[in-house]
Amino acid sequence: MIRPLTLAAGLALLVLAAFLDLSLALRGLLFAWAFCLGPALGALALLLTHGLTGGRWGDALRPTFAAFTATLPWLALVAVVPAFFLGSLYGWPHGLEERPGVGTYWLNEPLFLARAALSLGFLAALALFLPAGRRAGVGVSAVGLVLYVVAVTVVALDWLMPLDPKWVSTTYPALVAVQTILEALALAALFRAATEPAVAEDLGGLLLAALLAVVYLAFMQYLVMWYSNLPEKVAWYAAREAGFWPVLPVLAFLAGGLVPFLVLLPRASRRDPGTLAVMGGLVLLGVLLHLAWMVLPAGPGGWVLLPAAGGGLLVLGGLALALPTGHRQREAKRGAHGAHDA
Amino acid sequence: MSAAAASSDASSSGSPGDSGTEGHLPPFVDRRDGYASVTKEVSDAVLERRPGRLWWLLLAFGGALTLLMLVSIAWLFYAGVGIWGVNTEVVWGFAIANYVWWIGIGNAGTLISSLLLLTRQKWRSSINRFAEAMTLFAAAIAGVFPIIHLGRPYLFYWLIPYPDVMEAWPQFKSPLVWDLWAILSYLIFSLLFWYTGAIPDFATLRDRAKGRIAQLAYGSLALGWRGSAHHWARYERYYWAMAAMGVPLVVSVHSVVGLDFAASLMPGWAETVFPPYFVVGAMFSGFAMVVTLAVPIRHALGLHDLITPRHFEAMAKIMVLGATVMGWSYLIEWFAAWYSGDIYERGLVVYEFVGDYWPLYWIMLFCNVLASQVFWFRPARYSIALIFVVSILVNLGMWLERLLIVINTLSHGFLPANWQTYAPTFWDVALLLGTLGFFFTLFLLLARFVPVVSMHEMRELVREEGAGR
Repeated sequence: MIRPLTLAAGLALLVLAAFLDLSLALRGLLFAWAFCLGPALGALALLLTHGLTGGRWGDALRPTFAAFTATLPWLALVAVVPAFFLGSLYGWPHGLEERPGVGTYWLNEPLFLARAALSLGFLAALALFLPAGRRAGVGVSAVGLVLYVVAVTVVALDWLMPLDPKWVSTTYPALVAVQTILEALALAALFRAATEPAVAEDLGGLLLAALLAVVYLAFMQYLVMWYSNLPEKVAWYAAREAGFWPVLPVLAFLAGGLVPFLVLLPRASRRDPGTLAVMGGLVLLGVLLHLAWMVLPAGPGGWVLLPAAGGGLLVLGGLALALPTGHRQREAKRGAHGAHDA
Repeated sequence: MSAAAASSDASSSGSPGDSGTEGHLPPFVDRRDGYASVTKEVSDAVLERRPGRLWWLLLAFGGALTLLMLVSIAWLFYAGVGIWGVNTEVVWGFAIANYVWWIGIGNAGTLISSLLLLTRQKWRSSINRFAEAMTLFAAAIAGVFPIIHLGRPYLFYWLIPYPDVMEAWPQFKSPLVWDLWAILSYLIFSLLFWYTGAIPDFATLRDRAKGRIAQLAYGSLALGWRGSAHHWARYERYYWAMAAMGVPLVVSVHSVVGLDFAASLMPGWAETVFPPYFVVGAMFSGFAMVVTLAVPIRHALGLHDLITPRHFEAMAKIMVLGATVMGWSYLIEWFAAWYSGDIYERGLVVYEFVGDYWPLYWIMLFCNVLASQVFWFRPARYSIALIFVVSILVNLGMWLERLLIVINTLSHGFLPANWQTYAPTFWDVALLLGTLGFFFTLFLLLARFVPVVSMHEMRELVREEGAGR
């Protein structure tokens, strides 16, 4: 159940922030939206992958992942709010002057909204129609996964990358996509979705692999840009070096990357759902900090970002947490009835 | 895409986590096989069967090409890199393209072998041994190219930090130095991984060999393996740990190769996606090479019961996955070039499609992206002839890709006045063919003296599939 007080407090913070500085408030809300959307998108990828490969991890974790994906249609609807203020959020056409054609054929409101409706609509439909009670078919999963990758790429390229108008990174969509998978796995670990030691070990292994992948992609992106040292590319990192922003990735790496990696290396700790839950929590904190660092320092800063991001997290996080609880309860009830009838 | 074809196996209930068998699909091994028949089938190919005339003919052919390789290298050392088609703009030609292609093939063996072990894909048992050998040979060949492409190859040891009176120290910020360490560590690792996996099989050969020399040779390689429960317990843990170390190592090696390009300012090269993209490309081309090798090996050594249509079906699925990821990567590359608004980046993409090397680019797109899409259809995944043909196309496509990454960018740099095209010379081609022949020769020798399929893992699979019945 979402607590009305949480919702009210979050909404109040958002409204206050919007009143003070609309552009900063929207960026804070976008960060919260991206973070809350993460587990749903990641879980969708994992369900589709399991449809292709099978494996006991997916059979055991399917109810949890299905609960995560149940939030996707609702969170996709939230995108309507920033969609009304795209100009304030991205500052178009500023930054597009030196890029002939980009404003006309890609970064403009009608086309952006059309792509958003298509990509988010497709993802929401996929989340709605993917079977929750059994493993998805191989054909559906294969075709679904290909279209999923296209949709998530569009979401990353549209909503997050243009926050820094002149910046391009070819690995960025992959980084965003893999980070959502990491988030879904971390949240599943935090919720103790895996109770059996063998499943917990699988979940721990997947968590480790996704963690390594995110750290690898983020570091490679940094290394290549640091090495070439081209003004328009390093500008992205330069904007994130000001003030207290550099603290975020360091904290994210230490608390959300290094510690869980070292703790989860021995097999025994991966088999213990309790340890896995704590590490899942740490990884989730790491993703939160990393995503905040990716999204919030884009463009002019200001303390208004803080209440906006906090309010957004309270509202959307509260909603997202409330939805799967209801979904899970219904699922559990159906399972109990089935057992009773048998 | 065929939803109908794909949904026909939608009901398969198999999972790598359980028995590794899938409902109505044919099994990975014929369950009538016992331990003895698996051992006999594989070891007889080494111990009992005498090499036929075809083997000697092929060895002579491979040997001749190996000689061509040695002559090419000797002439290069004498005459210098001027014998190649490289010029003042296109300073990297075949040598670097070949290097990336070979190291890609070299990466795949270990990646396939260890990744499939970690994800409990039982079907790896039939292909991992020669995939690992492929890695070893290909990585060794790849390592030669960066050295010989240096203007003064005899000074390559300057890349190694050693104490000397001139206090010359390698530039640790240079990807060339990273290359050296990456390839060296990788070669050592691949050798150990391959050898460790083969120890129990060397013991089997030792016990079955009749000649004294063979007994001594295989006995030394078996390191006193007795097959005790104690041995097996230690062995399993060690092998698993090596596999877990292998995956990050493989990823790092090919990332460094990607950084050779990405750590530059050239249009089309300074891409953040290059390190992961090179890793995926390596897996893709390596898998294709495994298929290309598996078909003749299966045929020549009569291993039809051990490398079954199911194996080819699984590999076809991986190829269509790889091809789709490659297609996605190309799309991102084109989009990013346009989106950046940079005239050099945009110009390069146009040049790729309609410039001097346009036929090669279109052939590459066909081979790497389109050809494998046929495996969306189930009948195609069970046609070994088709899989073989597509695997060769992918090998060709991936080689073209590496060549085009090098020559497209260098032929179309920042200064239009300096634009030059590249054309390979006889010695470029000779060296490529020579290394192919050398690889081929090594494989022929391997098939003659070492079991190409892991006997002990196949016996394990026979037990598990039998028990699952």
